[in-house]
Order: sequence, then structure tokens, then C-alpha cells
Amino acid sequence: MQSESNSYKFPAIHDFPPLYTRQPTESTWQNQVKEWERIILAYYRSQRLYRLNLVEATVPGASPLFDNTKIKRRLSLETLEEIVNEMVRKGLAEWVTDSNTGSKSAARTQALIYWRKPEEWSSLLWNWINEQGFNNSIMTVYEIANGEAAEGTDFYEMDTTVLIKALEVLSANGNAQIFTGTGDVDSIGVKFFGT
Amino acid sequence: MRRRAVGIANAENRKALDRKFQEIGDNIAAREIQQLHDQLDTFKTNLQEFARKYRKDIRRDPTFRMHFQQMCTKIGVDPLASNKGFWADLLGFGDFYFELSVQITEICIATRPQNGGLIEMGELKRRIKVKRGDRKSSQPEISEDDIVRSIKTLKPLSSGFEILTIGNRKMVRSVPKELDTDQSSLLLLAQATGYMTKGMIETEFKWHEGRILQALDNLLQDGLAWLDLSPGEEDKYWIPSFYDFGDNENTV
Repeated sequence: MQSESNSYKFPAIHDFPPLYTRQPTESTWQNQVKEWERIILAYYRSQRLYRLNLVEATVPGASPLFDNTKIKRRLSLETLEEIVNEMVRKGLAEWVTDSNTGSKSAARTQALIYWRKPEEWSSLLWNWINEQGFNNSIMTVYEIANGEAAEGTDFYEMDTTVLIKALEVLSANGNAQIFTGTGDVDSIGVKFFGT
Repeated sequence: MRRRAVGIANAENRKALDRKFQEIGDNIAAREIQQLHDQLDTFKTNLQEFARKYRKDIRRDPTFRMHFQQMCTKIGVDPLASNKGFWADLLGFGDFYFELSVQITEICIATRPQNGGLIEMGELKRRIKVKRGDRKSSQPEISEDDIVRSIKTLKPLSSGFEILTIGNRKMVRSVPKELDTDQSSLLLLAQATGYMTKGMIETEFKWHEGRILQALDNLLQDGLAWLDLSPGEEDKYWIPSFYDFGDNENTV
């Protein structure tokens, strides 16, 4: 996909002004959440985005996704947090754990947006490994997402955290083994097994 | 003026004459009824022949279908009355409207969370088109008249579907809850812009604030209105049924 953010066409409901006000009626709110889920997932998929920093994204002018200059409406941080909470509950997103403390209760400032869930990424990866004949070879996380072989695939330049989550699924299924390096995450190695 | 004849003989005469008139009258009436019957039979046969001959056009062309329906209704024949009837067999109408009413029901239910169960006729028609679109182009085109008829066929099921006219728009209500008069007035007011504000309501209806708040709250509660708060602007209450969502498919 080649689309740029300025040429991206949001669905018509993105211009519906009340979409930016948290609806007081519960059933309407539930529907509002669903609309936002669809809008966020479609946008993230088209722009190949993986992470959502809630504070940064809701700053005026930061993102055409949440700041609609055409109708002068902007989603508030509080409402976005509620929406992402719902997405996490439905498995469409995951709060990023603070890597320093490892605590889940850390401030909910960043989330991974799953326009593909880690399970879906893992089967995509596994098919690719088998197609390319990478079975029984060891690759680094960096190689998988940025190597020549990955060019043109859906996971080219994908977020490392999401990639590792997908690899963990493969590992849990007995299709891969992860070797945690001593350095940064990019140097984590993976051995893929045969079919 | 001639003097009226009197006497018994005359009375007898008159009686006989009345009887004769009566007989003649009965004869004429019987003949006329017979003639009418014959005419109706001929007409019915012709109508059937017509329907058979133009079956394809009736199914294809919505305007043609509407005229045919109107003609049938005028002479007391209802091609929709039964799915098993002669007309249904002949035209395949029963299935046609049955299928359409299922599609209408599906769309109304799917869009209910968004519009509170009030959908504009044009929007409904557009969604029906999308729903039927992936089929072959031989699919008959759907007119507003067809939608109205289909909704009528849903009536025996106590579905609560009804067609409302708000200003110059036709709306299909799929929630059995009736709109109160204040709600209807507000919908009419919001029709032009798609939203309303307390100020607009005050100017238009001169209601006191309590009544305005209550009516707006009812609209929000029923999911017919969405609240729009924006600093520096008066609070707006939008009616999603009036908002053009374009070709965006929001169905879950």
C-alpha cells in the first residue's frame, strides 16, 4: 500500500461532529466505540502503524485521525483512553507494558493496535518461513523485519514488539525457539523448525 | 293536471301494473348483474393475460410494477395477499416482497445502534441496493413503492415497522416505540440542518427550558440524537438519520 496520510480518505462518519463527544447514552456510546475501532484499525492498517501514544495523538494538530480540522472537532485524551480500553478488552489492542518497571499498572500512555493480532501475524510469518525455506535456520528479529527477503511482505519494517509477540506464538506452538540476546531487542535470534 | 283515477278496478289495475314493472325491473337487474359478472370475468382474464405477458416487465421495472399494483388495488385484487395465491404463483411476487422485507428488516436492525431505529427512506433504499448489488444485474430494481409495500406485508407480524413522514422526508421507524409530539416537532426542526440547539428550539417553539431539556433528553435516551459538545459553540444535538454517511458501510 502506497497511500500517504494526506491522501487517506476517512469514512464519512469521521466527519460526523458528535463522534468527538463521548455519548451519554450507553447504547449510543457502545456504537460510538465500534465506529472508532473501525476507523482506527482501518487507518493504522493503511498507514502501517502499530503504536498509539495517546497523549501525543490527541495534541491539537498531531494526527488527522483524532483532530478533524475540517469540522473543527478533536477527540479528547479521556475519551480515547476509554475507547482503547474497550479495544484492549476485545483483543484489538494491548497496553504497552513499561519496560523499565515491567508493571502492567503503569500509566496507560501507549498501546499496540492490532489490525492483525499476533496469532494472525504468526501464521503469516510461518507461511513465509516455509515458502522461503528458512526452516532450521537462525535469524535475528532485525533480519526478519528488515532483511531483503522481507521486502514487499506485510511485515516488512513492522514494529519489533508486535513481531516478537508473533514469534512467541510460534514458539508456544513448538515451531520456533527464541534466543534472547544480551543486547537490544533487534539482536534477539529465532530458530525456526521444520514443518 | 289530470285527475287521478279512482275505484276498485283501477286499484287492481295499478297492482297488476306494479307487478309487471317489478318483473321487468328484476329481469333487467338480473341481466345487468350477469353482464357485469361477464365483464368482470373478461377483465380478470385479460388482467391475468396481461400479467402473464408482462411478467418480466412487472418484475424488472419499478414504475411499471407500481402502476400494475395500483390497477390491481383499484379493482380489489391484491397480488400480495398471499404467497400461495394465484397471483403470487403467476408473478413470483410473494417471494419478491418477502425477500425484500427480510432485507429491510436486516438493514433496520443493523443500523439501529447508529440511528436509534429511524432510517431515512433514501438511505434505506441505498443500503438495499448495496445489499442486493453483488447479485446478477438481472435483479429487479427496487422503488420506494416496493419498500412501502414490503413494510405493509410485515404488519401481520406485529413488527412495529412503520413509515413516518417528517417534513418532506419519509422515514422508516423500526422500533415499536412511538415518537411523542415533542420528539416529532424536534425531528422536523432538525430536518434542514441535521442538528438542533436549545436556542433553535426556543426560537421556533417558545417552549420553557424544562420542556426543551426533557424532549432533548428523550431523543438522546432513545438513541435518535447524538450530543455534540464543542468549546465556544452552542451544544448541538445531531440526528444521525438525517446525516449523509455516503457510501460508507457501517453495518457490523
